[in-house]
Amino acid sequence: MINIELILFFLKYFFVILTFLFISSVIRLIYLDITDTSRYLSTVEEAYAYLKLINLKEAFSFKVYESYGIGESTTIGRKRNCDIRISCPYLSKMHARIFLYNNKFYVEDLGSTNGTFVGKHQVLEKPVRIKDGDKLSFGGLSFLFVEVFEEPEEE
Amino acid sequence: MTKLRIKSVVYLFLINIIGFLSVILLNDDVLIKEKMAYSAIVFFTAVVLIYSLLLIFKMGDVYLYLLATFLVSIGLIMLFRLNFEEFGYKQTAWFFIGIGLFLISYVFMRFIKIWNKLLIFYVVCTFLIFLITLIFGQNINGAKNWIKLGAFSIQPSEIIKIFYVFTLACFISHKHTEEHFFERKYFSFKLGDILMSAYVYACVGCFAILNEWGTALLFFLTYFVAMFIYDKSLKLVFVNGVMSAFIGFLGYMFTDQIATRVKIWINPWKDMQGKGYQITQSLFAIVTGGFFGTGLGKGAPYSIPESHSDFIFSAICEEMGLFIGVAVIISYFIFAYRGVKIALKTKNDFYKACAILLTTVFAFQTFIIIGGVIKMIPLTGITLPFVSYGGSSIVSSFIMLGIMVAISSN
Repeated sequence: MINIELILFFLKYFFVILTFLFISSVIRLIYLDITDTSRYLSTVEEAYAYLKLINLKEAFSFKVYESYGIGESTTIGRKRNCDIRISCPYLSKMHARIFLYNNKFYVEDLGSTNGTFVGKHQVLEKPVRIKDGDKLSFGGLSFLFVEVFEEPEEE
Repeated sequence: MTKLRIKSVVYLFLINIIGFLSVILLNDDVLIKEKMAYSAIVFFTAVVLIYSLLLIFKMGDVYLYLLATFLVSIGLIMLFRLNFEEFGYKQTAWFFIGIGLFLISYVFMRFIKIWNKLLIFYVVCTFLIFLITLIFGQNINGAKNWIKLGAFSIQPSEIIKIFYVFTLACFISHKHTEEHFFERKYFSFKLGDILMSAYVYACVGCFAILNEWGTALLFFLTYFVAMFIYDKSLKLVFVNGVMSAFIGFLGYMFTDQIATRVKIWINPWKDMQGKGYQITQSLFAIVTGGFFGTGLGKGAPYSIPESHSDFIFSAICEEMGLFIGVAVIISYFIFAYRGVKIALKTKNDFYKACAILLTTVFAFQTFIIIGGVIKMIPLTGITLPFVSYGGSSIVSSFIMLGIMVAISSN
């Protein structure tokens, strides 16, 4: 009998923890829902993934969107012909490129001044594999990388 | 994204496993244990099947469904623990009927597009149900609000709720067509507004006759919100505010019902063994639980009257803890947030009004009963949507959910 009592005692705490994990996962789902963000910039025709801004938008003096679509090959920088063009002073003209290779996403640095980071690690010569949920930083701007396997629905 | 979608179902699965396992471990009877296990497995299988259906066919908003099933799970675990034979088993059956009607109402709402033209039908239905209740109604717990149909008891107010929302949505969406006879003005009010007010006051009056103050309050608050959103001059809001204050004052002076409720609310400890018994027991239960609860089976939820339906929130707080109570409230918050979001995204006026009013009904129903149970506002009996025991309640909640999901997919 003592055994069952003990089990029930621990289950009680697990139950509470799991409940809040469930709720946080639902909130996260709602937060990441791309069909929801009205400030979404469709940089490419078919987005396979997208970058979601982590920094507060209001903190910047230049124009930046909440999220950006990522296609088969997407360049980020200040130059006009970049797919994702943000006029952030710490961004280089051609800063980085995210591309699809064998159904996996990679990020490569295009010789930027301030560097490209995946989490805490700097991207050097070799392209780095990125996964769903990774944090990407380009010169002061931080993004969450989110993969969508199905096409995003249109509003 | 896909990973995260599966992750939240996995969490829900673990919550279900832990909850039902603890309830099963508590019970001594082997037969009941088996029955419980089967019901729990069948319940969760149905939840997952419908969820994958929603995902695969992209049927609309999945978050509302996820939250609703979480609430049903919490309610079911509590009901299994309270009395499996009487409440838990039946509630599982009602859940299946509810989920069936969820799909049916989804299909009806999505593929049939005549719902904004049936105003007279809704009004007639509403008053027909009122008439049937007045004639054949059964008196249970001081309110004449049940219809007996063989072995079942139906609570008509739960069905009227849906017709009420549709009627108001019809009135509101009619407003925008020019040269309609609703646009004619009498005493500087539009005829449509006057008719809508008349309908609302008739409904509230009928509930007052049936002695069901909780639903009357719910209907009135919903109407108030509708006015607040859609009446630009706020003249009607003001007139209705004054009117409702006047009616409330009259009710307080001349009927026992409201006066006693307010008295109990101000000081329940005066008449602890009599009229204040329910609310004081509920407060004791919530305090006993603490943050993590006494644990399933260790509390005394039977001491609260109606702990399976109206007072299920206090029973949950006692045995599962304040944290789960907070989690339940948070899920209702997210539910309301999603509802408003759906309403904002919808372009069709009728659907927009439907979505916002259904959300309002859910939100206020939760507020009225949880507020009453924790002695924040005077207590009026009404069910907690998705959690409370009761066939009509869960069925109507699922129908409303189906309508909302259908609206979100348009």
